[in-house]
Amino acid sequence: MSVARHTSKYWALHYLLLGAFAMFALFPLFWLLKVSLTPNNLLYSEGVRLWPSHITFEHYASVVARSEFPLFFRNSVIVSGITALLATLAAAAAGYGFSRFKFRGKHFIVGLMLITQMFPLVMIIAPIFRLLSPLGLTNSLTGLIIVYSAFNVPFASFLMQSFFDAIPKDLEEAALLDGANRFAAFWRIIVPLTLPGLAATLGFVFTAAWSELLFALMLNSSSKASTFPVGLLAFVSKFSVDFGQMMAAGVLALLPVCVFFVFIQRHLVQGLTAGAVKG
Amino acid sequence: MTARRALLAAEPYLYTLPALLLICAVMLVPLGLGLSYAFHDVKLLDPLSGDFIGLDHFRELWSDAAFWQALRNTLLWTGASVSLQFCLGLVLALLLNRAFPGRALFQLLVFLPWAVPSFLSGLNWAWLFNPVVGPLPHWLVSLGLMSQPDNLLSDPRYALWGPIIANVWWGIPFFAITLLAALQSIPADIYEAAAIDGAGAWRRFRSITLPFLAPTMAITILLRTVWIANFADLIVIMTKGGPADSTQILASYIFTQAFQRLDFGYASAIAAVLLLLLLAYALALMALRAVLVRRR
Amino acid sequence: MAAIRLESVCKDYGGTPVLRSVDLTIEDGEFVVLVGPSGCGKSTLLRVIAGLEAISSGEIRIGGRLVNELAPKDRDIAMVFQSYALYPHMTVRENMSFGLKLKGQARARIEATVRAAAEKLEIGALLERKPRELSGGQRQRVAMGRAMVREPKAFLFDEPLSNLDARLREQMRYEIRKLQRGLGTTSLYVTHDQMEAMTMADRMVAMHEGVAQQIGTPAQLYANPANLFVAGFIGAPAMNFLQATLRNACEVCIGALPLGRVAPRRGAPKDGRITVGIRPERISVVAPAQGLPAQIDFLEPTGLGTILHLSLEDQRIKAFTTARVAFALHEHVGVSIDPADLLLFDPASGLRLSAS
Repeated sequence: MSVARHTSKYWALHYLLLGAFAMFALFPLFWLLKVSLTPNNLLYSEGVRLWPSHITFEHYASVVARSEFPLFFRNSVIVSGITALLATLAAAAAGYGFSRFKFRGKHFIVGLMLITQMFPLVMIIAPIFRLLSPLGLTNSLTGLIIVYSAFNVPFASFLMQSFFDAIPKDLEEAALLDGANRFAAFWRIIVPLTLPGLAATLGFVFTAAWSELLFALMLNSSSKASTFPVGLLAFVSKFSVDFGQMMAAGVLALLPVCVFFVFIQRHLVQGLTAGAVKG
Repeated sequence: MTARRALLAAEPYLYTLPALLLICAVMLVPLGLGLSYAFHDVKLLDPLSGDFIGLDHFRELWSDAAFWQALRNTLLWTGASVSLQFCLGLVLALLLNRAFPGRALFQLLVFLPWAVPSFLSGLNWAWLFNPVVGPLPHWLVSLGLMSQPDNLLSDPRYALWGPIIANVWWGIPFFAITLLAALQSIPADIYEAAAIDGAGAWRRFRSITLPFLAPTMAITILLRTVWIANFADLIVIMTKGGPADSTQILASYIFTQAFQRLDFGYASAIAAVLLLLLLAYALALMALRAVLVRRR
Repeated sequence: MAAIRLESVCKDYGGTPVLRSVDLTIEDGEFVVLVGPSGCGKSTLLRVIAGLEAISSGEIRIGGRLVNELAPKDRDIAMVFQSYALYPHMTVRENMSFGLKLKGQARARIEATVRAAAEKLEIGALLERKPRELSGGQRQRVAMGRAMVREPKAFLFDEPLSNLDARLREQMRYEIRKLQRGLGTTSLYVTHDQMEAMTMADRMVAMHEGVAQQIGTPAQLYANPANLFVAGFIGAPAMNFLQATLRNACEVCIGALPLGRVAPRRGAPKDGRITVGIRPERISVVAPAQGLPAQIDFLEPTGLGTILHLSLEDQRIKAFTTARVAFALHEHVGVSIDPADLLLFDPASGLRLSAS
């Protein structure tokens, strides 16, 4: 889009605005870090300083030493990980079906999936509780996995469909003639070519499942099966004045996703941009 | 029909089956159930409840002041969040649309809020607004906007803005990425032709960029509006709907009724109303689109 | 190596007929070209033979075996796609080995076969490269190699040269034909370029609107087109078509100008109105007094000769001459046509009127 040469005034404004956005984006996280490193005795006296005069790691130590933290973490990893796998598999199959086939009822099914994206999920929180309770799936990681997988499948399917659409159909046809049946063509030719797409979808679903709060809150009343959001919320309400520890817990919660994000960010943006370009 | 033809015809259905099963079992069946609860007396703690009570819940709704407040708040919450996210997201997308040294780094930094789980964003901003440990109340006092460092979230008049700001912080990257993708799909030679024809930067923006973006903008805004109207997490975390139900939106009101009061019937009735409103919104937009398309 | 036989093959696409009762036999080892404009059904015909699409009725036999219900992988044929369809994530070697691996052949044997084919196609040095590192011509060869190694009963080519530039196309035309001759594999080749068809085919099928308009050798289609479509499609520059009248069953006139006498025709329209076809290269341009009066409207020098756009009476025709004479725009010239070169058609049905 750079048609004309831009003046240095333009670039100054450009970087200024970007800097403002970057500051807005980073400041809350920075503050979180700052308070987590501030010793309790300086917390109130040095309230608004941008960086404490002494830093301490005592908050992190006490948070990690609490027996429940690793549990919440572990639960979230299990739930998010398996949800990501399950949802992506189902979505890959469905996305492939949408991409390659014309069949009766396709529009109906696609429409159904779109509808599920439109209604408030809180609406079904009560029925799901009543459905899962007799099955023993409340207070269980399995129940959450099933629910989360279903929630994420529609969006993941559309995502996978757009990745499959980008691959020319004659590759499968060449494979069919080379002696493969359709599933072999799908598995050996198409899937390897959509690995970036699969990774992006896995990442999406993982992140979505990791941050889900309301259903985890509703379906779990014991900390045994609590995921991270629920655990953190409970932890936080117990320590209504120990901000140092609370913020340390927050930073620990952030670390894995931020690190993960730093690595996949490029691919995610590229994937979404490419999909959009293809239409 | 031979066996092979039958198998071929069944293939697409087999591929979509797993996804379909999950969705029907976990989302569609409960949806139907949920709608029926709206007409029954369903309280979790009362094992004898479950009678059909017709429109009683809806009558209760009509006279529930908290419900109407929640409705008003839903409009404010959705309108403010979407417009701010969109405008700021557009500016960001425009800034990132051209290559410049350091773009990759800036892109990473400004998209980082997207990686933050929403509950953490809520907690984070709640702490920022807390005068005990956060800087914002003190800064607001320095700027003269507040007389003394109070927690914004305890003031019924302005409390909703806390979650709104957290929502905007968290939601800008999504809009920015979508708009960036749309911007990058505009062919460069259209701009070049316009430049040769003598159009300046503002003119090019108005006559090329905006019309090209319009379809993407429309769809994105529609989808995000619906999604944000249903997004209760931030409010539940930051204010629990308080003080005194002043920050409730319909979605969070449904949640607190179900979770705290365990009155599933009433919660479902509110949910039914919300669903109706969303449907009306979608239909209105489709009608608007049809009118615009015909006009062209 | 086998013959392909199509009997009354029909295909409908949601009510619209795409192939109308096509009958075609491709003999063992023959190179048959399907030629026609876009949308005529030639690619569809190729795809139904491959098994990528189903037919509505009719029979397809490969090597005598009825294949209607067989999956593509069971038909033992290979296809070269217009876009080559090379597997992007595999090297050239892996691309060529894929089909053989699926068949379960031993690795050593696959190695040997792939190497031999690569030598023949002169791509031996490219075996470890990925498709994106190859030029268009190289990709073409790899696509052919992938088809060759399977030693199929027949090759199907779907406009493989369309994505190449003109010079490369010329070269590949020759190489494909030479290769096929060496292998002796039955081949069906689809193209929209009539020049490709003429130079490569043992026999040609001219297709239009789902119907095989004429099947024959290139010479036959050139000299004895069955109808207006074939006459106008084959040959470049295209045949001239003129409104004419047939008097007394044997005198052809354009307006008031007599063109000459022809052998009497069967089935001529009663009112004598016919369409007359004459190839540009069969028109002689002479001095104004020695032929029918015409005027030059436009000149297209091609190096080989000149294409002259002429107006004759009130109709436009093109003449192609290799005479080394300088022509001038708006010059008045004479047009001389041997009546034996005239092809007569019924304007209503488009069919050629044959001699009685």
